Amino acid sequence: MSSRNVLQGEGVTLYFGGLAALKGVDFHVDEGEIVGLIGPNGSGKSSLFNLISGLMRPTHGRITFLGHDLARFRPHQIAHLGVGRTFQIVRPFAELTTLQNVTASALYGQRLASVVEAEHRARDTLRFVGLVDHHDQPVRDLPLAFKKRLEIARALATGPKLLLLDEVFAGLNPVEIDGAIELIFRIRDELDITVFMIEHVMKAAMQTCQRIMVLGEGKKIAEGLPQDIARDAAVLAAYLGPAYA
Amino acid sequence: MPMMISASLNIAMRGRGQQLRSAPLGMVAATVLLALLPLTHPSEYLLSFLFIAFMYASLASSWNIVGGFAGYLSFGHAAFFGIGGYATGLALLHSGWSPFITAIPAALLAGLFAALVGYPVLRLRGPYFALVTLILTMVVRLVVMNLSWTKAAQGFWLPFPPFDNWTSRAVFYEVMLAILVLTLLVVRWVQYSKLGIGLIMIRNDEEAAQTFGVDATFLKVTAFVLSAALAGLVGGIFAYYRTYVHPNTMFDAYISVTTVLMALFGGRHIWFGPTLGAITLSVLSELLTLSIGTEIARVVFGLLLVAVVVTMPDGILGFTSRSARAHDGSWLKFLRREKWKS
Ligand SMILES: Nc1ncnc2c1ncn2[C@@H]1O[C@H](COP(=O)(O)OP(=O)(O)OP(=O)(O)O)[C@@H](O)[C@H]1O
Ligand SMILES: [Mg+2]
Repeated sequence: MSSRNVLQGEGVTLYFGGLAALKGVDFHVDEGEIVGLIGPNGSGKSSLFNLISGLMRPTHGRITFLGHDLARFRPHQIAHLGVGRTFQIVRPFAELTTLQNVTASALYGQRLASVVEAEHRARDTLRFVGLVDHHDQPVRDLPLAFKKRLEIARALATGPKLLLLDEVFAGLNPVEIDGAIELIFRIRDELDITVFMIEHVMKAAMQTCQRIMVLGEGKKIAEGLPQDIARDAAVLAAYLGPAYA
Repeated sequence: MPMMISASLNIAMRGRGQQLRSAPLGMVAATVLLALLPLTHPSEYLLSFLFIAFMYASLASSWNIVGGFAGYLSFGHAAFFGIGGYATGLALLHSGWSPFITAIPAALLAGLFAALVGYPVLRLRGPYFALVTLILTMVVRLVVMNLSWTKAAQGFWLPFPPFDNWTSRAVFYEVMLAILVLTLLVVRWVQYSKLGIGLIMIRNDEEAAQTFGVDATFLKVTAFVLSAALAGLVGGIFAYYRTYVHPNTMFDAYISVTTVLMALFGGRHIWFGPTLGAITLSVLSELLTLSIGTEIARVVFGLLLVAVVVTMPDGILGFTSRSARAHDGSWLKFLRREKWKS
């Protein structure tokens, strides 16, 4: 539409044995966008992120990032191309402190030679996400809202052009969700990072995303502006059952 | 258990900066004192005992690069030890080259072997990796047993070093001390290098680490090669020390298992942990043998080891440092060097 295409998928299909987690999904994310990915449990959202970050390979189909066919890259190379991600279930390096987590990520994500430099950048990132006061805390002591922010900080520290967020609002209270929404806007506006986010909390997705894509049982069932998605019959059927459509 | 991991990391990464900074100085002092020991004309018995203790300390320390830092418990360290031993032994037998020199190319050979097997084997995790590394040693041993140019199942004798008995023991003692110091320097460098941080990321969550740009395969194989080469070096010197090279002594699963236990006993997350474990256990085992006889000593020793490994999963260092608190959450405090090579 308006600007450059960052991420594109064509006919993306993923089988787990006989189970099709994704069936011929086409999608695209453009530069500077915040795109939402919603859908019921088990509809294949996280699986799609695993394919983009290279942790899994599509059975069929093709994903390109800034023109690179991702089939030719391993996960760490995809990170170096500029894809950062968070995990739905936070998985910080449990033995390390907040700062060490982010330093490690900057060190390898930005291919720095100096730990001094990596730590310097990690502090900037922690300041950006509002965790700098908790830098020396062992991560297992952090409350969930901070763990989610740490997850975002680690992804940001790799210096991504595209950030994949997997349910960063889940488990947060309304105040924390507002804070997270604000953070996502700042990531796009101040850091110029394109955002592709999976969300379960519909309302929050509506507030944050300028475009929303809906998966149902591995297929793309709708795509459009948030207000249109909220009224889409197929989406309502997928979420609430056919009777409501 | 996670708490103790964190405690041992406190030493390694943040707390006890003081202790850590003084460690290398302590190491220099200890090295000098130990190197001067032969001047007091100690018994052959003491020199031999220390040779074996240093040998295990070096093996446990090099094992730790993969087993401790990366969290891949290998039970195949003896494979690399044995390859080093055979390479130096055969070189001496056929060409008369001194093992004190050929142990170096032999170490590189062990490293090369690790690079070749590392790619497939390091794809496995947990018990599968442990099992396959154990089997790997058995396979190498079987191959050596059946090749004529390695003297098959007969093994072979090496000429004695050109010294009298006592001097020979003293020379081996000094050489093994030097190898231990070299090993510790390498392992310590690894721990505080970019490589070491990558290995910690892999140990914590290999998949997540990759999404932060860690080439897990490359780092694991690099660690495996370093670890194997150091073991090969030790094996080369040991073969000459024993003057007899045989598949059963060079590819001995007992060596692999002892190495792992010593490292676990000392503490896997800190560069000097395995050395501490190896020295402590060597002394303990020797004292037990001297006081209650070999057979009972083995049983007591075994039970003791099991008790310690079960109750202190992070080794004696992890255990004693549980109260270590002071830290600023940074890697830099104890890392004095500014520039890090990858
Ligand atoms: N590693 C795996 N092995 C086998 N099946 C899997 C695996 N990962 C996911 N699946 C299955 O694939 C389907 C899609 O899972 P996925 O995690 O992508 O869904 P999701 O949309 O993220 O769901 P949720 O909202 O619960 O996070 C599910 O049926 C799931 O059970
Ligand atoms: Mg999911």
